Amino acid sequence: MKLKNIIYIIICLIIVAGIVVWKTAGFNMELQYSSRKQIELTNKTGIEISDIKKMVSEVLGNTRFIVQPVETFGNAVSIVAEDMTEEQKNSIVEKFNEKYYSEDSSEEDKESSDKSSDKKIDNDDIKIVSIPFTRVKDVIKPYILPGIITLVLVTMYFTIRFRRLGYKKIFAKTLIVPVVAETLMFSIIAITRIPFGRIAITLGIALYLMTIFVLTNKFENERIKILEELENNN
Amino acid sequence: MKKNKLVLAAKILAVVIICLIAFVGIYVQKANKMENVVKDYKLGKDLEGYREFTLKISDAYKVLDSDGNEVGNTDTYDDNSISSNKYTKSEEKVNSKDSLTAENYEKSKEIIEKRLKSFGVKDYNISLDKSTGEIYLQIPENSDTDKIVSNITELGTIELKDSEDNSKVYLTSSNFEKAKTLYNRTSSGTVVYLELQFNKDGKNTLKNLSENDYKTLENTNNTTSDSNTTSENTNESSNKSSENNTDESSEDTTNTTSEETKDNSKNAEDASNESSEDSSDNSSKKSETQKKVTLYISGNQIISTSFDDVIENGAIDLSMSQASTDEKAVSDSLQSASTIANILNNGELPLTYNVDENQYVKTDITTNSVKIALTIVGVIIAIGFVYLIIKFKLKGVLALISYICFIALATLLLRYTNVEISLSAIVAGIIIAILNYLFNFKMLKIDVQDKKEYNKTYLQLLMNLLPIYAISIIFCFISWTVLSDFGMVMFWGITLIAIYNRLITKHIVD
Repeated sequence: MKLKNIIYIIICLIIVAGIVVWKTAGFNMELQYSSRKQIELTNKTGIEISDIKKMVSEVLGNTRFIVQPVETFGNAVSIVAEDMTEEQKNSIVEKFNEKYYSEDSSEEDKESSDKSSDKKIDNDDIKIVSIPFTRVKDVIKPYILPGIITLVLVTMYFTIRFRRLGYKKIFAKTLIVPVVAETLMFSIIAITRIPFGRIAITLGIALYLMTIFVLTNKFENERIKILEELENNN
Repeated sequence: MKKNKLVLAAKILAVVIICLIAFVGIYVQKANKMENVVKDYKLGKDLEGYREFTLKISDAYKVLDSDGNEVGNTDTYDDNSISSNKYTKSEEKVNSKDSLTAENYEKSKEIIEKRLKSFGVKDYNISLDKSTGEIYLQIPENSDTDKIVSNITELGTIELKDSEDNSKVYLTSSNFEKAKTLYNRTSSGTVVYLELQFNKDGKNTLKNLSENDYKTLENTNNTTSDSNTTSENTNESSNKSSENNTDESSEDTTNTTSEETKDNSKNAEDASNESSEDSSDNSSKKSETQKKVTLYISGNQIISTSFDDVIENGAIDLSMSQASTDEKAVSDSLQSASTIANILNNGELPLTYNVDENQYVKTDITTNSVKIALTIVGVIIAIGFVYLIIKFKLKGVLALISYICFIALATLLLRYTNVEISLSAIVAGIIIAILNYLFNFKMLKIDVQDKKEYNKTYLQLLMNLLPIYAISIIFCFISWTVLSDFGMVMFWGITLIAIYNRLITKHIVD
């Protein structure tokens, strides 16, 4: 009983801390949902994503970034970073030119040297595009209504099926436990600064279902116990 | 004893074959190439890629015709086309400075979101730059993507004006109630209609127009027949547009339909002129007095017409195609009509937007990272089975064999039921793997040969799965990919747990 109380206190503290962090600093949004800068680089011969990742990493250091192939021809990439200055962009472009165009020119026998320099990307041709952040509200909006509908239905089912356990207790537990579990998970995500995005949302859905499964097991075991006791008494 | 060993060997062989089909595939030679005939996974937006584009606020100027009526903007007309059409470039921008407010930006975003939903986009990422009004979008890549991109910025305005004097505006979007798609089957084929329903005020206005000024003049037979011709030509044009859309699916359906209809309206007017020349001077004069109204949708002229009958119900039915028996043509017309209806029903965009930076971007989640995640889960389950083998000896080994076969069957099932594999589907798959492990663990604890006990435990386990099974079914019907994919995998997974363990695991472990 004592341990249970300690656990409850810890859960409450984590939730309170999570709410404070969320209200003050917000979630650490996944790059796909946060405010970001994007540039695109193309060549004619094809691009190796790992090479681009390496060169971007050298320039941007600890700044979060992703490199994604654009279209299906394998010769264009989109570099998306939390932040990117003009100097950093120019540096990436220079490295890109070094990697893909100096090698090309050496291979292209001795045609005209102008031809290879023509192909090089000019710093001014690459523009940094600012992409606005997605609001947390917009990210979670599609999940709220289905969550409420299913929770109401499950609560109704539990209240009827496990009425012998006391419908008030079942009703309260079914409503509170999944909500507390979700709040706890998102509080931990907020406190630990784990990126909030696609994976966090999916884990939220998984946690919801697992909570319902655990509750079903728990109530079912309690119901069987009561039925067995009743049988024994009879 | 020997027979039992043979049966066990046969069971294990069956398991190995299923595993080979699921994890390796069946290869047959096709055109000097070995090809796997087992269906591949259908990957979702998370794991495949998506279309990303930005909607930028148009900086264009209005373009006016010789009468001073707005005919477009500098985004659609360049200097050459303006001068060749004898149009003029206005000093006024399509988006006035006053309209560039945070409120309008937010309203535009909401309308775009509504349109995405009505176009059936089940997964999107939308964000708004509140300082510039730019809207950034990510939507899944499929056969409808181009159509969505080209229609998403349609203004969604509706206007009914006098065809001669554009300053006479009888109905606007404020009078509009809803649009719906209808079709009528006749002996000559199916005709698709777009019904525009107006509110009470609009209804009164329409009734007034149709019984007074814009009523088709009875004594001008030629004009009436011309009016019919107009309608027929319009139908023909819509039909043509459908064919065009079949060939070039990326074309803007709305624009194509409206523009071609506009052209045909012009043709109809020409036809009207020609027939007027042929007829007597008297009827020619009468035809000149026939007043017509013009319907504009999103600024595009749709049709110019007079009214044969009084419109009592406040609805205008636009035929979108000629009567056709070709299913594809009818379906295309229905789609065009439904696109226009969706745009109109979701409200008018307060600002004019242009699509920019429209491109397909492959996912940042690599196959390698998915493999790493699945390997970790595999290792955890393997540890679980080591425990089962230690605890239940041979039964544990057989349960492991059955478990591997279960995973193989589940992967085949997901492929053949067209479940989209996304991040949420993978997580649901992991939950199914855990649930099946727990199911096996409970079943191993009891004596399988004791039928009564087995049935009781089996039923008990199914009852425990029932609530999450019901939730999964609800998720399947939610039009949001993350939830529907999750629900689908859970639904098929739990179904397989129930059937497979009853039919296969029981007999293998038995």
